[in-house]
Amino acid sequence: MIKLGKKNNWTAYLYIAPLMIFSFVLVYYCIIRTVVVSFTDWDGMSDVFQFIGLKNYRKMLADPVFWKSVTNNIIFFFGTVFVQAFLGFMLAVLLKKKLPGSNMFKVIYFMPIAMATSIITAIFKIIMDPTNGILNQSLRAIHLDGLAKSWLGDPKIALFSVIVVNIFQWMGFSMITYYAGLMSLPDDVYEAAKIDGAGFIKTTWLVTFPMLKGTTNVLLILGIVGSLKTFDLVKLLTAGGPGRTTTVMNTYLYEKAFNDFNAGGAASIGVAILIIAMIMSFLQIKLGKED
Amino acid sequence: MKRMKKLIALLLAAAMTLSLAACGSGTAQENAAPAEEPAAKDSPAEEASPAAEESAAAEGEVTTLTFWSWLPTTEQSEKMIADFEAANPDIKIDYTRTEQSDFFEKLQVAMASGTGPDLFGMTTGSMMEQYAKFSVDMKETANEFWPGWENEINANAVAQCTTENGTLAGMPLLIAGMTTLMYNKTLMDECGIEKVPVTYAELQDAAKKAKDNGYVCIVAGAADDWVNSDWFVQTSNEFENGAVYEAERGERQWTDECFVQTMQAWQDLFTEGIFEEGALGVATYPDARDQYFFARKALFFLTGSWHLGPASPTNSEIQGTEIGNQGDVIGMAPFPSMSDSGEMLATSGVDVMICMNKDCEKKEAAMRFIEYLSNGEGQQFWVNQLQGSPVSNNIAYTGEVDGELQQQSIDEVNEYVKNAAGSRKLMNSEIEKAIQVAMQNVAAGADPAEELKTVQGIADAQ
Repeated sequence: MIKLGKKNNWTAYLYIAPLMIFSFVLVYYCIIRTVVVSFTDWDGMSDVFQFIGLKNYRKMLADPVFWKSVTNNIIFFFGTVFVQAFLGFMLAVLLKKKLPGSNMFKVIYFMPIAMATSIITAIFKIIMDPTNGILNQSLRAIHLDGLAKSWLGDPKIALFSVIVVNIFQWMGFSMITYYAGLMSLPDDVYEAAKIDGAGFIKTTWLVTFPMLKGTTNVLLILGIVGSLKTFDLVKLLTAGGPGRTTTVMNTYLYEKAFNDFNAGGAASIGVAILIIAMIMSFLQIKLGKED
Repeated sequence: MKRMKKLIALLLAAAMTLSLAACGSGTAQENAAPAEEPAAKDSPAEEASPAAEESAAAEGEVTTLTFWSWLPTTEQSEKMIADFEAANPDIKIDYTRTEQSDFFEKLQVAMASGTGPDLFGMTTGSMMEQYAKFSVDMKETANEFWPGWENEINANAVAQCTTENGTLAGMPLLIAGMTTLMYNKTLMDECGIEKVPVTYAELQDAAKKAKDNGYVCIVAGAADDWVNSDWFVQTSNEFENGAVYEAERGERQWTDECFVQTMQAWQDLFTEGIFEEGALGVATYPDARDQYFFARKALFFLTGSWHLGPASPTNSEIQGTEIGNQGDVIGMAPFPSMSDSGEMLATSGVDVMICMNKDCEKKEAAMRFIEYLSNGEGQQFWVNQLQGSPVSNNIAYTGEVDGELQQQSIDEVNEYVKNAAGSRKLMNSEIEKAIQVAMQNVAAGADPAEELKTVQGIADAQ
């Protein structure tokens, strides 16, 4: 073990100084500033504002739209993270089999991650168009007219449609993460399972999946943070509508800041998102460790 | 070796600190003038700036004005700005165009950081109220640099650009009316529809004929909040003229019968197949326009008077589209009356105004450009492009009429807008948003009366 003497301490600080300064300027200062703004009535533009205590938080907690957005975030989280992880895991297991064309499929499944959200949403808006979209046209062509829906305009299924697009975009990430985890698993475990008579399904669920628990935890934490961060996809696909059916916390925050010129109210939602993300990540890490 | 490491670390830290400082200093310099506190801006010293400007002009220096807006369009701006600069060689316009949907976010961030442009486009209503504190009082500035301007510019338009506390936040540039239907006469003939519907019964009949021929009747971008609330304000006047403005002032309830009828009429447009299926998921621009109307899949397109251009077959907007390729005859007419009275009442408003940043130090030059856009060749060019109705009392459409229905459309729409019942926009952004949400819920099947109770609840909470 290398021990740093007192006189060498400053060198260590010097090494981490650039990162610390960048982190403070770009992250921590912004968080502190957001917290401060959440106690004010700042409009987001002028340099005049007053401290109003907890008023923004009281209004936020009494606001039904805020709670609707929280509910939508929760639905979005459960609808995306677990499905993404499951599909990603299955794909990774199948791709590890080195079936013909598996490398090509790996690229295809991973490709959406490399695409900008604005491009993905533009394409899906065309695909999901109720009249001209290929999805409904295909359903009608095979006489399944009853299944042709207004995917983004029907309040009952709009959030589901957004979730599907999100899964399309991020499933490849889960796949590649699981695939990397699979590559590190020792072959002798599989040989032992084979000798014990375990088939493909048993091996997958009783050997592979438990050994990738660490990967699953990482994906869940990233999923929690990712679902709370969701903004661009919703904004570009539905802008939070119809009505409030797809409004999530970040789109509501944006609306407060840029439409209502209520930066204080927007900041209070931002702080709420931060607290929820911290609590959920903490719980996930704690539960993951206990396991 | 240790020394070497320390030295490298020190150098890296120094380089980073310097780079941060460098980033900051540029902004600081750029902001130096605006940051000199508002008190200084109103001081006599600042008033002397036009003199300095004139002397600069005399020395042959070029004054650059930054201008941000969503109008003029890129194509329009090329000609308008080139013509202005040719006539005013001492002024250069640095124009940045942003789509209206993104424009206000960009402007808000720039204004908050003190890096806003000299001139910027603006809408009336709640946006104008917010940005007025960053703008010069246009009345004072125009009186100084453009004497007699009040006789040249439409007084109603000027009134709409005036804030609640009486400040003229900007100069109006174009007037537009709501709601109109762009129609495809060729497809109407194909479906056996003899004329543009003017009543709801005629609209129902047209919808049936359109459906029988495999077309959408009216394509509406009901995913867009703005078009929905514009329609609500306009149509509610047909049920009771002026009620919507009284309700906004708190003088009556949003649950009153005229508003329930308006919401019911809105719901009928969806449930009776007059709007396209899934209209709540379709945006006006570009989806409804490009994928339906220009793609020859809809007979009518719900829009406003600013979109008269395609009535001309040589209009650049339709070149290369399916309706352009097929040579369809396009026109524009008022939206049919939704009330039993059969009265068709438009709303109108300033579609775009121009504000001058309080920090602008080139007020005389900026005013010359404002005059060009609102009362000069720029205004004439814009009006001839059918981008909107003129705000100048001296200007009228003088462009060539080359479409079969173009003159008729211009006359009908202008008459409709001229007799408008009132303003197109509400001033209260929270009420406007509440109506927009209620309209989407109603379109999806919610009870109109219940949704209006929610709107009233939000109004009561203010």
